[in-house]
Amino acid sequence: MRKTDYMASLESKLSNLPKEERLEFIADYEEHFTIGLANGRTEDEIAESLGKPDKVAKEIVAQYNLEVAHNHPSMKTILRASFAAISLSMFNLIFVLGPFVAIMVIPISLAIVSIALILSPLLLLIQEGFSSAFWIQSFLLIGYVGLGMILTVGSLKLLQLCYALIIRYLNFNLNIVRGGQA
Amino acid sequence: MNAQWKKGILELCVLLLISNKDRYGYELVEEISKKFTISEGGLYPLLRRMTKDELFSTYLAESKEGPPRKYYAITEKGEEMKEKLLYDWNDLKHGVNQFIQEEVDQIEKN
Repeated sequence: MRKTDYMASLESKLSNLPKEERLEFIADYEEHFTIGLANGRTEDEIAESLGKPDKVAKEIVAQYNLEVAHNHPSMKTILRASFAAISLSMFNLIFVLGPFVAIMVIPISLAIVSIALILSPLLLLIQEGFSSAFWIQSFLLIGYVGLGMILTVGSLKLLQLCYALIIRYLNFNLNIVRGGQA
Repeated sequence: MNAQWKKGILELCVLLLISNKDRYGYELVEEISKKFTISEGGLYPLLRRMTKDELFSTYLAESKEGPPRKYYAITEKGEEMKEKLLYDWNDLKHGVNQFIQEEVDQIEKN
């Protein structure tokens, strides 16, 4: 592959990165090509040994997204980092998506339960209408709503914990030595 | 014994190379790929991450052969990390060697 094509492909795959990061990496790979050529290698050889530009870009993006997630953990950054990691390889499809789903199932189910509990008065109303059945059961609602609120707080805390767990796992996963192309 | 050693191997190699003398990216890629099959393109994001972790500092230096090169120089934090990773590696090596020794002895007895 020609150097200009390689660099163009790499640059376009890095377009979502902040400018500073992107320029730093472009400079690194430009330097790599320059020195390689000075050492008598061909553009093709150098491109071959670096690996396909879209694969290299994926590794760069995965590393960067993980950093962002680490510094600003939120649903958005965690999702982005996880999917960037998943996109790296077939291996990761199983070994990142799996744990990700397994970990996130718990706080999400808890959140669903707590929302349902908080909405329980409405749900009961829909079911019974303003009938005597409603009023008889309504005293339970105080308990349900209260429990729902407690569980909401609990599930938010749990969510933070799960974010931290996912970040640690992604870090571990991203830094395993990979042989060859992956 | 922890699984962190896998993460540490490339880091350790880079730190060892840089602690002896400042190096530029291409040099590091070349040296490491002599011993391991790695995705060479993937080394640069690792270097960037280690730089952000303050394990090295970087500077540009003029070169006779062309445009200025980015050199990586080890920091004190980097030296500490190097020592830690060396320790972990020796620990692991020791453990594995013991296992091997025991199994070999078992085989010889039987």
